[in-house]
Amino acid sequence: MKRRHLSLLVALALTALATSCQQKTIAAKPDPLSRAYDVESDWNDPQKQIPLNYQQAQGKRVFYTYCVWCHADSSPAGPSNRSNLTPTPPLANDGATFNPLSDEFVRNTITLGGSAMGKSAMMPPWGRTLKPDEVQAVIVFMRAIAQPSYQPPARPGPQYSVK
Amino acid sequence: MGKIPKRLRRAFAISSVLFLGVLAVSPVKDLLQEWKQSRRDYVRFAETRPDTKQLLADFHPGIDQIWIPEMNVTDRCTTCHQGIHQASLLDVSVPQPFRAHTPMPHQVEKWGCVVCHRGQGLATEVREAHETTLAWEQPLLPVRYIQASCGVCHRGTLPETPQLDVGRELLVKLNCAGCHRLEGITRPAMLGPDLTSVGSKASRAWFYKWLKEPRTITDSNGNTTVDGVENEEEPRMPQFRLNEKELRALSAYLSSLRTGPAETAKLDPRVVAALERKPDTVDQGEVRFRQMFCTTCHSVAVTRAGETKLIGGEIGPELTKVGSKVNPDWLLAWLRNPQASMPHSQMPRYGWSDEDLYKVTRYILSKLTDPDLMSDVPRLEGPAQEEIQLGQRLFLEKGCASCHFVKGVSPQADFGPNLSNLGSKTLSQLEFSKAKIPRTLIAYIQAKITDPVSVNPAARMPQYQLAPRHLEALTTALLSMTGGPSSSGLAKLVVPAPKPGFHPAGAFGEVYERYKCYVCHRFNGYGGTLAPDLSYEGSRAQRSWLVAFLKNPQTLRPTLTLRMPQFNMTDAEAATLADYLAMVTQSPAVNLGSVTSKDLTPEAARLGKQLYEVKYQCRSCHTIGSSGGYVGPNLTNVGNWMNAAWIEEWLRDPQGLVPGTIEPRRTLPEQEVTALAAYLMTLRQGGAAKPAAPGAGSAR
Amino acid sequence: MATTWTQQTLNHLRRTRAWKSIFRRGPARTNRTRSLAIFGNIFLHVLPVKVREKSLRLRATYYLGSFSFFLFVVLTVTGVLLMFYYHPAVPEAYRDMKDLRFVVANGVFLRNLHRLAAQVMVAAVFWHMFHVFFRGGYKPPHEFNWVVGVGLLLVTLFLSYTGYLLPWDQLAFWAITVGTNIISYVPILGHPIRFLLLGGNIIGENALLRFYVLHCVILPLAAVILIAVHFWRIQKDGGLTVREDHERKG
Repeated sequence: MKRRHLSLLVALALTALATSCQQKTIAAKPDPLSRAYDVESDWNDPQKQIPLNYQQAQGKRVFYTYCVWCHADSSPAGPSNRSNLTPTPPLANDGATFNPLSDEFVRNTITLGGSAMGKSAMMPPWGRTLKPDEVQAVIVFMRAIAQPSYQPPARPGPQYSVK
Repeated sequence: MGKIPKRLRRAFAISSVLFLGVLAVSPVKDLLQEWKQSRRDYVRFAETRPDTKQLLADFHPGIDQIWIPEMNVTDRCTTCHQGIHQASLLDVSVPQPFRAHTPMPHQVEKWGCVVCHRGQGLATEVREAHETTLAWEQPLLPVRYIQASCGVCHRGTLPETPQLDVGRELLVKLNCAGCHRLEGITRPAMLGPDLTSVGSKASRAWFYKWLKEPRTITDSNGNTTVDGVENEEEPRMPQFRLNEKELRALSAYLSSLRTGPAETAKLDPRVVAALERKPDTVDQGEVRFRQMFCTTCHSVAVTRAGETKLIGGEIGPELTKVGSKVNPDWLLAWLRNPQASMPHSQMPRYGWSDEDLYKVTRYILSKLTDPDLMSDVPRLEGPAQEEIQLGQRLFLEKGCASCHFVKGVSPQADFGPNLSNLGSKTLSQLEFSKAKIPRTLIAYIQAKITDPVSVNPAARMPQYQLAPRHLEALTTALLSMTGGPSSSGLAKLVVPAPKPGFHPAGAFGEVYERYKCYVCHRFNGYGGTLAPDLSYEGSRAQRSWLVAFLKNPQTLRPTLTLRMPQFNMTDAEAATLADYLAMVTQSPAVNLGSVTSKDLTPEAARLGKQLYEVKYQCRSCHTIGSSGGYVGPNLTNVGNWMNAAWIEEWLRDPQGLVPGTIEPRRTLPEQEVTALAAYLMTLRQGGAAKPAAPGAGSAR
Repeated sequence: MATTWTQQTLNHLRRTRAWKSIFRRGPARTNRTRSLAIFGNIFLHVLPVKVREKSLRLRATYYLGSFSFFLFVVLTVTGVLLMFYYHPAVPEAYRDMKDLRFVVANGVFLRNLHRLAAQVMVAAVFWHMFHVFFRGGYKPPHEFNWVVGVGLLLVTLFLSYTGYLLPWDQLAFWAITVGTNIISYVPILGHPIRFLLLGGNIIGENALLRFYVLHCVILPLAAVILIAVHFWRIQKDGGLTVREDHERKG
């Protein structure tokens, strides 16, 4: 190759290198909880944080306003009423009690009250106090914090898909 | 043909083929575009679902966009996020980007995506849409700060955005509004306390210590424990990074501010003589301190079982070591009339007898002390004139004047930059200098708040200590300040903050102002939320009960730790308040004359008792006597407390009388309502059930 | 020559009235008809009928002039296609660039080709100018063609400059700011020229529209006219790479 061609190529290569060198920017540490609208510390293990989406966060808000007094032990919201009640109401994160119950059953218990579903009359009916999506939000929140964790029932299998 | 040389022909052929090859690259790349891949994936995904037909019916190939020109919305996000509207795709197991949007108050088709999530709506490539790139500097807002977008239009408080509300409160509470202009945040009348006569309040040594380290709680190891304390209280005054010379100068200046009130507060010498020698004066002072519930507004550190906790309210400053701070004369004058030295103070003017005053001040000055409080302060002689002048200059330069009012000193306007547009700033508008943080707006805001010097070594902004959730809340509130919505269509939809006002005049107004009822109670939307809303108190409570309560507040709700203080008000003052409440603060839903003794019969009461105990189990939340629940108020004396008509209306629709109350609204037939009211009206403490018609009695 | 079926149909076609009305001369078999084919065609007549073989060699011109013209054609084609999607108005301009990138099929390629061709064309015309200079192509009688060439250079540069503003992004805006501020320093006429260019005192909607009209109508027309003169002059002066001594040597 002629010398001038060679020198031209070298010059081109150097400029290419120079333009591609960029200042290394500090990457943001990916925060696993940054995609969560809100978090709730696990009631059994305060170090663990459970991420909540918008609906679950609204459920958390409704829970801590209306339900926490009886369905939780003492919390920053205030001392608990739970020990005053017989039968003792289940804790909201009690997976053993709530996981086997369908969403429908829980929704009816909340909306119509305990005595309507054969449970204690101490559970008031909230259907006229809470809106339907607030009730749904509370249910979704309870499912999120359940220990042992809640598995939604299986979807209908492929034999039901319409093709 | 002519003699075109073969080489030339060949060269022409090759270059034409190459050129066509270059042209062909584009259609191939077009086919492999990201969004086209995504849509093919979606079709494949839809075929695995049970409702394939429905999903594919709503699908069409090509770019999907939400276009609302009046709101400047051109969002192509739904090209990849195809399942946004499909209710069957809500489940967490559905992979992104096909998952439906979680149910929320605003419809995606009517608002687009960028309005809340920011990012580049015009893009159909993942990186361009989500991240900061060369040509677009507004990345997606992380979901944990998404309430900031709610705040762009909703200027008032919303129950659905607690983090934003806390952030906005903190912007006032931590005095950000003192130095910075903030969109939608009104600067309250008093940020830091007025310092016009602070020289007569505390010593120069105390000022030195305070300016060096504005906290007074240290545990036995000398560690400041505010952050470890249950309330996670941040000190409202930040730390100003002052050096020795500056500390001396400022403390000298402050101790020179002695334009005190002319009123000298001297106690009756006979009272002093009588109590001086008594051994239990201090203990009695503590009893009075407790009875008057000073801790409702002021917190005091209490050590129990080796653990130090701040017990009390946040309205006034924390008082653990105040006895070592204040000048005894100042304390007397202050308790007698707070507004004399601090006109905007929220402290009520209690009715003090000289005896009470002596006892309580003795208690404060001997027990709420720390003899070692200023042991680490170097010797400070009488201040020199140069020191005072330097202090006066520093008072302005360091920004003290922006939060603390001193008569005759006008603060620098706009001491800190205007933050009303902070949320909409692009990367190129932010000065990172040498800060070792990621180059994002959120990292910038958080670095600036937690460590201003790291971003700008010459920063005048002081050093704050913040709990992590408060930092998040502040970030959210600041991100919501985008200088208003970006288009005229959106500007029409802004929900302004309600600006209630309730400033009564006359005799009631004087008492109301003297005891600062509005700091804790709300009247027609104006006031604090610490105590019950009194907008309808006249319909609720009987006048005689009101008078008794105002003179001697009792426990109504067992679980609350903050109680109404005992103001030692005179009978006339109590009567004025009770008369006003009984006559004016009435609810239109309650007709006090509608319930008479004809309705409240003993048979009805018996039925009511049964309903209370068996059918509705009201005792799960309410206490009568010694048994019951802690959630609602104690009903032991409700017959003397409430009006029957109120009770009936409450049972019919509690949320209609007090919106947001947690009493459940049941479906009670009228007979049961009357029965329950009859039963409750028989519950009276200290005296047999009055046979007189309660309705007529309380309509006075 | 055995006549194939295609050749037979072609011959039939050539004898029709329609064909004869469009194509006046027969097939170019003789030198005369070959000359007339070039000479008598409106699209081709600006090109020379005969060329010297030497001028077709790579080392003669490196095809720089043709390459510049080729790029001009590419720019015109891509430019017209881009015009379908572009509004020369203030909020729409940038958004249309985004649309070209994200929505329009082959939009990225179209825009990038236009931009690349523009930058390569500037390089090419400079190279062409240097090459012509060092080969002495400005010497008499080619002086006027050199002047036309310089005019073309200025038109190319100005086309580049006006096109730069059209995306209406930060790069565009500030580049034009700097450029027009420099222009304003010309003595006496500086400010009026700047005002004329921008249609005002600030770089706003008027500036964008003016630059658009310059870039798409006025300057391309000027370029086409000057190119035509440039080609014509070369042809009339005897074609490429003609030197007096070569001519004499024959």
